[in-house]
Amino acid sequence: MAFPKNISPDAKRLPDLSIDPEQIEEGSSLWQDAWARLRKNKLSLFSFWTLIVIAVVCFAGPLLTPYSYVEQDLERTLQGPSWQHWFGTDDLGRDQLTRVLVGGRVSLTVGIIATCVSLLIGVTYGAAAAYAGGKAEAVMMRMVDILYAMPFTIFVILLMTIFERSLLLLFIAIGAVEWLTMARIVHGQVKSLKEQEFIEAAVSLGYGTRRILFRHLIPNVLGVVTVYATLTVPSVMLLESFLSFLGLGVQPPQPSWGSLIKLGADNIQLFPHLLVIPAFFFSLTLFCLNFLGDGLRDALDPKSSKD
Amino acid sequence: MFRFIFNRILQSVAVIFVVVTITFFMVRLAPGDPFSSERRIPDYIQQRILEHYGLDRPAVEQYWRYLQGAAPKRFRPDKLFTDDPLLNAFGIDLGPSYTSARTVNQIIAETFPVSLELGAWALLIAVLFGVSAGMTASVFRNTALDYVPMSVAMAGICLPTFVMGPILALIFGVWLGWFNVSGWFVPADRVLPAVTLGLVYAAVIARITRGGMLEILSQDFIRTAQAKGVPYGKIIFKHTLRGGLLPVVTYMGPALAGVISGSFVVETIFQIPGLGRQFVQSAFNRDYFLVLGTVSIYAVLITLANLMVDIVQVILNPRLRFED
Repeated sequence: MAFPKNISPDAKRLPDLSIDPEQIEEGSSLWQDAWARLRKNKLSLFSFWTLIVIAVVCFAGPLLTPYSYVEQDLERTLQGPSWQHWFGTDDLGRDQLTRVLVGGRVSLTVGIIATCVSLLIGVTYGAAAAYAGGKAEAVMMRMVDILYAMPFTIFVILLMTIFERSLLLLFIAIGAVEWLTMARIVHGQVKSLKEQEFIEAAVSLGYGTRRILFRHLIPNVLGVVTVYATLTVPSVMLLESFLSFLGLGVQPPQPSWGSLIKLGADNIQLFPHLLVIPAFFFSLTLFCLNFLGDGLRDALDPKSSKD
Repeated sequence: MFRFIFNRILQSVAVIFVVVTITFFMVRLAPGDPFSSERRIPDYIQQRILEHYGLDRPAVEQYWRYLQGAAPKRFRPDKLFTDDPLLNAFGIDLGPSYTSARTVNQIIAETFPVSLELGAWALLIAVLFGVSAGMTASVFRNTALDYVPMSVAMAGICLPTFVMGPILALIFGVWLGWFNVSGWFVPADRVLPAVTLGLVYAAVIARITRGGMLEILSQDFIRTAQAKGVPYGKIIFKHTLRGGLLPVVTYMGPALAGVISGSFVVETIFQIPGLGRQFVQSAFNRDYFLVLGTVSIYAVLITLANLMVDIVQVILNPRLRFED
């Protein structure tokens, strides 16, 4: 293949991010703008609806299946898909469909709650450091740098093996790892926003600290925080499943996608469906969360908007 | 620049020290001891065992004795290929293992080369595929040669090691029968684990390379070179690659840390007798000294990698030389 004639990026090919003129007349908020842009991104929109379907099915589905996720039927272990058991049964004769759905519920719950934990710590820490400024800021962010260099997966594994394993400990362990990135991002954002002219303008117009904080700073940080929260959920779910795969995360009989994949991996020679089905749902969810995060970044990043 | 390197070395030593300390007290302050899970034994024997391993002493004293043993005392490169290189070449004694008749030194000497080989293959795959895919994508921007590798890369990032591994084993091991599903005996056994472990990082490196290359390609000096009639190949390989690969160098530190934690899973899936599997097992068994030993080795590896990345970065990017 021949090299293209012009290898520097071509401005004409950039995606069209302009929004409807009618909406501008109405005075649209950041979120309306973002939604309008997100709607144009087919892949993100598809991911968004797929995620909603997965979430609804995982949370409501187990109520509709005639089996519970702990109910064993030792005469029907390791069966293939059938009308009674759509996804077959596992090594203890438990209904795999119910277990995949409940596993999804566990994984999604862990993903969302641990993300909230990391959000809470990260945003508070990052914003506090940026507001404090000076020596305190330098020390606080240096600490984050040093923590960043630590082999955290190892500490999480140690935490989970040494102490009694529980969901609470899992949330704490994962949240404690994931807040670092959030703290860095929020710190950078608040720091650069503080210096910008519109804040200076607001100050010179005599607005109070509260108004500046809630009307000018928070809405601007919120977009970026939303984007990274969306991208944190898959990485949290990854860590949770990683731990569950090793047998260190969610404890049996409670299933999680990680432990279901582990069971499938142990039985791939004879019963590949035990691997393929949970792996498919897990990957689909991760895909959708990543694409949605990417789409949200395009939609919410203030720099990419035209005004 | 030498001050910078000196500072970074000091910082690395501090990080290793902190990691070992945290691990030591985390393991030691946890409820239960290594023998609590085993069959009930008479108290006086229990007492003798604890005495034998020094577990009856105060935690601080144990910590001090551990540090004395673990500190490097000499460096004899000629003894690196003996049966206990840690002790013979460095004078490091990481203590006994509770669950095995061998010492921690011996276990590490047996399992570490396996993990090192696996990790080296994985990183080689990651860099080779990642950089070439990223370069292709950036040069042929917005064509099929950009979209296809980048979509594959996105899939590679989304699929975690523990999904990729079993799936690859299923396709190439069970269905096609090209490779063994598990084990570490013949050279072909290296392929599936190394690909599994390297693929995620290949994907990330491809995206980073593409981004880095595009940033350089949009700069004025590239346009100048084009205007002066420099051939495209020369622009790409001579003018763009050096700057474009800088972000990839930065990523090598996190990539190594990732390969290490990935090895826990990959070695479990493919049943490879490496350090990663040993670490997970030792954590399960509460084998204190073995846990501490493996964590220390990992801490040294990761900080060494970060240190090297920082130094290479300063060499590649002269603008960094004047910062602290």
